[in-house]
Amino acid sequence: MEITNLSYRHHKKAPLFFDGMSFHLEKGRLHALHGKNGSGKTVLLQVLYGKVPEEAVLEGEVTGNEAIALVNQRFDQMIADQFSFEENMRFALLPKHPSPFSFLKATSLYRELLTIFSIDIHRPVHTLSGGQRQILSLLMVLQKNKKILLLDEPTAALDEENAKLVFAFLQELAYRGFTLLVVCHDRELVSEYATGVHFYLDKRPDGLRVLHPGG
Amino acid sequence: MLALLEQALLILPLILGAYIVISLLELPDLSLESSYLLGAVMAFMTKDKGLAIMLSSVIGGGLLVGAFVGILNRLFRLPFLISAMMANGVFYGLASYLLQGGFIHFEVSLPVEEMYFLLAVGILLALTVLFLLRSQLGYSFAIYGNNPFFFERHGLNGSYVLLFGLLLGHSLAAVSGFLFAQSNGFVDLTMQTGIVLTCITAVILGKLVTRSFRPNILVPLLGVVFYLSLQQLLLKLGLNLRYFNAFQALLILATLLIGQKRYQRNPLHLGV
Repeated sequence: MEITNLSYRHHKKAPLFFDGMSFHLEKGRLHALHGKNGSGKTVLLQVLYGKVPEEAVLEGEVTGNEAIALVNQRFDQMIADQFSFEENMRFALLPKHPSPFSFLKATSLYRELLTIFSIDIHRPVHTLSGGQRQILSLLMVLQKNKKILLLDEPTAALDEENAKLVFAFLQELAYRGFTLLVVCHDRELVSEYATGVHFYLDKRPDGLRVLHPGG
Repeated sequence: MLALLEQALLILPLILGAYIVISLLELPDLSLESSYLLGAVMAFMTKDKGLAIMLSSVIGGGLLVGAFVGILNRLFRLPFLISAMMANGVFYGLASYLLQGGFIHFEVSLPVEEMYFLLAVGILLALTVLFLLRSQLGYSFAIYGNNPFFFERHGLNGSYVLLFGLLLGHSLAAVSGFLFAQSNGFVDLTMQTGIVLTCITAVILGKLVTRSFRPNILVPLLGVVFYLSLQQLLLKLGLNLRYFNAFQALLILATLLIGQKRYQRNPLHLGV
C-alpha cells in the first residue's frame, strides 16, 4: 500500500492536518503506529480507510488499498456472543439485506489458525476470553476478503495475557501475507511482535501532524 | 379438548409474532396490543367485502402499526418503549373512531367450518415462520436481539432487519385479533388488554421448555401448549380466571429473577 503526498484538512477553512505525507506499507508485515493522544492516529487510519467526512479536503494518492478494513477497539460490538464461534463466522457473510429466502452460507474457517490458538469453534462466544473474541472479530473481517487491516487499539480493553494472544495472532496473519497497521500504546508489546515499520505521529505547535518512520 | 385446540389456534399467530418481536428482536413492544385490536377492527370494517379483502385489511392493519412504531423508533430516534406507547395511544383512538362504540357484534361467513379454517391458518403461518426462522433473516432477528450494533459494525442494514421483524410480528398479531373476533362474534375495544402479558408468559414458558436461544419454532408452539395447560391446571385447582393476569405477572417475575441469578454472566440473554 502506497501513500503519496497526502494532505488533509477537516474542512476548507481548517488548518492543514497532514501535509505532503508519504509512506509505504510493505505487504506481509505487522506495522505499528505510535503517537500521543490527539496526535491524529485515528484520523490517519480513517483517511487510509477512505472514511472521511464530506466537508474534509483530501489531496494526494493512496494506492493498493482496495481490500482494506478498519477495525476499532469495540470488537464486542462486532460479534453475537450468545452464538458459537462457528455461527459468528457464518454471520460475517450475511448480505446487507439478509434474505428471508436464503440460508446462512458455509465459511472457510482458518482451521489451522484456530488450532494454533486452541479455539473451540463450537463454544458459545460469551464463554471465550477477551483475546479469543477479538480474534473472532478479526476473522469475521477477513471473511470479506480483506488483505489489509487497520487496527485502532485492538488490545485497549484487554489484559496483558489476552493482548499478547491478539498480537501473536496478528503476527501469524502477517506471516500469511496480510498487511497490518496497528495503533497501540504498549511499546513493549509492539516491539515484541511487530515485523514491519514503527511509525511515530507527532503534533507540531502549529497543529500540523508529522509522520516519522522509525525502526 | 376441541375447545382447547381452538383456543390454541386463536392465539398461535399472536405468539408467533410475539416470539419474533419480543423474544428474538428483544423489543419491549407493547404495541402488539394495538395490532391485535386493529386486526379485529379492520375485519369488522370490511366484513361485507369478502374473505380475501378482509384478510388483506387485517394484515394491513398490523403492517400499519408495525410501520408506525418502527418509523418512530428508527427515523425519529424515539426509545422503543415510548414509540410503542405512542402507537397504542394513536391506534386506540383510531379503533374507537372506526367502531363508534365499545362493543360491536359481527359475523364472518367462512368458506369452510371454523375449526378447519383455524387449522389451515395455523399450519400455514407456523410453516411460514418455521421456514423464515431458518433463513438469513431469521438468524438476523436473533443477532439483532443479541447485539443491535452488529449490523452497523459489519456495514449491514439493521433498520431493515428491525422493520421486517416488526411488520411480520404485527401482521401475525393482527391475524390473531381477527380470529378472536370472528370466533367470538364481536369486536371489543378492551379485547387487547393484557395481551402482551399473555405473549411474554407463553414465550417464557416456551423458552423454559426448549432451553433454546437460537431461532426455533418450538418456542412459540410449545409456549402456546404450556400456556394453555397452565391455565387449565389453575382452573382445575380452583383459581378464578379473574386473577390469571396477576398470576402471569408473578410467573414472569419469578422466571426473570431465577434466570438472572442463573445466567449472571449474560442476564440479558434470558431473551424476553
